[in-house]
Formats: sequence, structure tokens, C-alpha cells
Amino acid sequence: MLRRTLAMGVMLAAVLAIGCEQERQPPAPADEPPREAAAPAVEHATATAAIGEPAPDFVLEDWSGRRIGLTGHAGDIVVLEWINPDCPFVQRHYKEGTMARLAAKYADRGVAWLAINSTHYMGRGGNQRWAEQYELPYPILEDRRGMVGRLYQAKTTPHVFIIDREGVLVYAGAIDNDPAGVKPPDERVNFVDRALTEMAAGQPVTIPESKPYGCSVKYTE
Amino acid sequence: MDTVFRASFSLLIVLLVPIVGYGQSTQPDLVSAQLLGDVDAVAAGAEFRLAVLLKIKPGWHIYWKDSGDAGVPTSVRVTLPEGFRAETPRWPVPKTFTEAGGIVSYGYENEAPLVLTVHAPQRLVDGATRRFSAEVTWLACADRCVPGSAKVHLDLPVSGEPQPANAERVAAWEKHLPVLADAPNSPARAMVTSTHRQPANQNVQMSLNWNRPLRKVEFYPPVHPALKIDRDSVTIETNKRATRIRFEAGLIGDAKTLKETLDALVVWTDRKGLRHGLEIPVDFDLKRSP
Repeated sequence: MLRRTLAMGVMLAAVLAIGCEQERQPPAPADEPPREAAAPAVEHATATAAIGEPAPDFVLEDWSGRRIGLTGHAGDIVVLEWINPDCPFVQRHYKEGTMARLAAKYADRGVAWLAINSTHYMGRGGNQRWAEQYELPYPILEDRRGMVGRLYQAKTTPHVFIIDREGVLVYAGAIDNDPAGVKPPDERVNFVDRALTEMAAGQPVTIPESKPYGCSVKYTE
Repeated sequence: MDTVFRASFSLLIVLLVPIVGYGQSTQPDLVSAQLLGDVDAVAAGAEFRLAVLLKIKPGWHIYWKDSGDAGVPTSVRVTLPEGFRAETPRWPVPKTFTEAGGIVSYGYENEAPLVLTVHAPQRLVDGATRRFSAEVTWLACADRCVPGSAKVHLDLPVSGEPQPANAERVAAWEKHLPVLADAPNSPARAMVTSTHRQPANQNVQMSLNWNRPLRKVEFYPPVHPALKIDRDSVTIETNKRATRIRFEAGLIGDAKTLKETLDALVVWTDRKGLRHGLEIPVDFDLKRSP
């Protein structure tokens, strides 16, 4: 009995000693081999958007509670425009009427325009005020939890995505080539207008991608 | 008596001519700007440097020449007196900001000197004070973003023997600037090779052999409106004193070709934890398939 208890005690002590030994590692040497800093990892949702691939589906609500998603627009060309009323780039474009003008131009050609707001601190009230201030003919969908933004990897406001009638993503990028809003009219290229014109004529999109500009989307942590 | 008075007065004016130029910022509480020179006067045929020194409110940042995923690059436009010529601005070593949603951008906090090398003409037609001006525009962001700009100027007299000025500040701004890979004080020998799978795609490999120990290596891709480098394609491997960086480059937007040498930036952290920049030229040759 005593021998067994003693043996157990020794075994327990040994186990504890090993455990402790593993924790007490010698400190890393001062000039450890350099750690590679590859680009910080980007968090991906399981099925993110890619040009040439089917666009991920979603359902969001506008400020009146109406549920809107891609399935409800099957057969339409769909434009997704990431928005943040607090961003100076969005403010400039809305003062100039850039998006509203485009939405109106293509409205009767089967193009549905959806604005999406992934700003974590802004809810329906903010979206409604903005929609009413500019009398917008299209809905602003609330995505303050950032789910759809992350699905599409929306980076900036504005950031625009165009989905064709078969549900394939055919454009992702900036609204135009003029981040500062200073280019003369003959040098300014509106990539979205150009893509929609081509799609309406049954032609392929010649510029499927451009670098988006604007404030970063203010996602929730 | 009158001559003495006038001479003293002129001397006083000369002594008071500022060698630091101030200006107006649209958002002075967020970003202030100053124009500094590393000389107290200009001379015919001389080469000197000007720095646009930007001071940023704590908690805010502005952007590098490539802003990354979001934001807008800081830009500077200089106006020089007749006959003077400035080289492209040199950008201080940026840092990386990561925001929720995996948004990665590049820029500066606290202080950023944009440095220009200026060449005076071989002949200065008169001895009048010369004015150097710069206009800087930026986007300052914290939890929200505010665009801003500033106009700054610096007046420098003409002299046969310009003296160094702002020595301490010049030394400070030098610390922020990257060195060229083939410069005598370069910390590494660099070799760059490229292969093309298609005319519109280029795989670049950079091999660096370091001549000193370091802790960390970061990579900031070359910048050009027509160039797209997918961050996910960047790999950095370091083994002892050798680093290998690989990335894929392609065209973006409406550009049909890109045939240019652009600088990539490697940032290395020394054993004291200080970050330094190394500029490595990369030849790009991309052609969009018709």
C-alpha cells in the first residue's frame, strides 16, 4: 500500500516535472532568424466573389424593412454600390449625382441598382436620411454587420460590382478613373457606365477590373 | 552715417530671411506642412534638397504614394523659379495599417518628410531672392476621413557660397528615406529575375543577400496606375542572410501595355527594432492579349 502510494507519488511528481520542464523553455536567442512578414492575412468568408465566377447570393433589408437579394433580380443586370454617407468621396459623387444619373440611364434596360452600406455604426435611420436627402430611386441595403461586404471583399466607399444576367460577376472596382475628381471631362472614364453600355449592346466588358478608391469600408471588428 | 544705417539695415534683413518656410493648411489641426531646405541660399549650378515636412495629429494617418486597399495617396506639386529643376520626390518608409475586414493600407503617422533634390541652373540671371512653392494634398483618416491640402513656400537668397542649414532636421529626415539597393551603404545585394507565363502576366523573383543581421522583412510592391500585384501572390522567405521575395504582376484598368522600370520597396527591421527601406528596381514588360 505504502509502496504503491509512493510509486504513484513519484510518477505524479515525474509527470509534473516533465510538464513544468516543457513550460520553462529557454528564452529565444536575441537574433532569432528573421520572421517573414508576408502581407497580413485577409479574412475570407467561405465563398467570396471573383470576376468571371457566379456572384455570391445574399438577402439584405432596405431602410423600410423590404428584403432584397440577387435571387429576386434573376435575369437583371445588377449593380452593387458600396456606400458610406460620411465618406468625402461618396459625398462628392452624390453632390454631382454620378450614381443616380447612371441608375436612371439604365433603369429601363433591365439594370437594377442596389446601394449597400456596411458601415458598422450606421443603421436604417442614416440610410433613410441619405436616401431622402438625394431622393434616390434605388434602395440602400443595410449591412452593418459587414457580412455581404466581406463576401464581396468590398474595400472602399465607393466600390462597385456589376453582375450580368446569368449571375456572373463581370466588373469590380472604382466608379471611375478620377479619385480626386479633378480630371477634365474628356479624360474622365466612368468604368461602370462603359461596362453597362457594353453589356446592353451584348458585348463583353472590356475593363473588368480597376483599382477602387475612397475611404475604407468601416467594418465592425 | 546714412550709408552705415542702410548697410546695417540690409544686413539685418539678410539675417532675418527665413530658411524655414511656412504655409497654410486647410486642416491645420490634423496635418500641418512646412517647406525646409538643407541650404541657406542658392548658387548657380548647385544641387540642394527641399523637404515638405508633414506633421500629423496623433491617432490620424495619411497615405504613401500607394495608399493600398483604401485611402488616397498623398501628392505634392512643386513650383520652382525659372531654370530650376526638381527630381521626383522621395517618399519616406511607410508603415502598414490593417483595419477590420482585412483592409490593408500604407501610410504615415506623426511625421513624414517628402524630399526633393533640386538643381539650380548653370547661370543665375540676377541676385533676387528665389521663391520655392509646393502644394500638398492628402486624405487624413482616423475612424473617419477628411481630405486636406496645404500651400507652402520657402524664400532663399542667392549667394556665391551657400551654407548647410537645418542640419539636425536633415539628418532626421534622411533616416526616413529608403536607400537604393546598389548604393554603397546598401544593406543587401539584390538580384531580380522575371518569367512570363503570358504576355500580360509576369512572375517576379527578387533575391536579397544581407550584409547584416535583421529581424523582419516586409515588402511594398511597386506602384503604377496600370499595374496590379495581388497581395495574396506575394511570398517572402528568409533563410539565414538570404531573402527571396516572389510576386505576380498583371495589368489593370484600361492600360494595354506597361513597359517600365519601377521601384519595389523592401523594409527591413534591424536588431534595435528600427525600420529601414531598400529600393529595388524591377523591369516590367506587360502586354494585354488582343
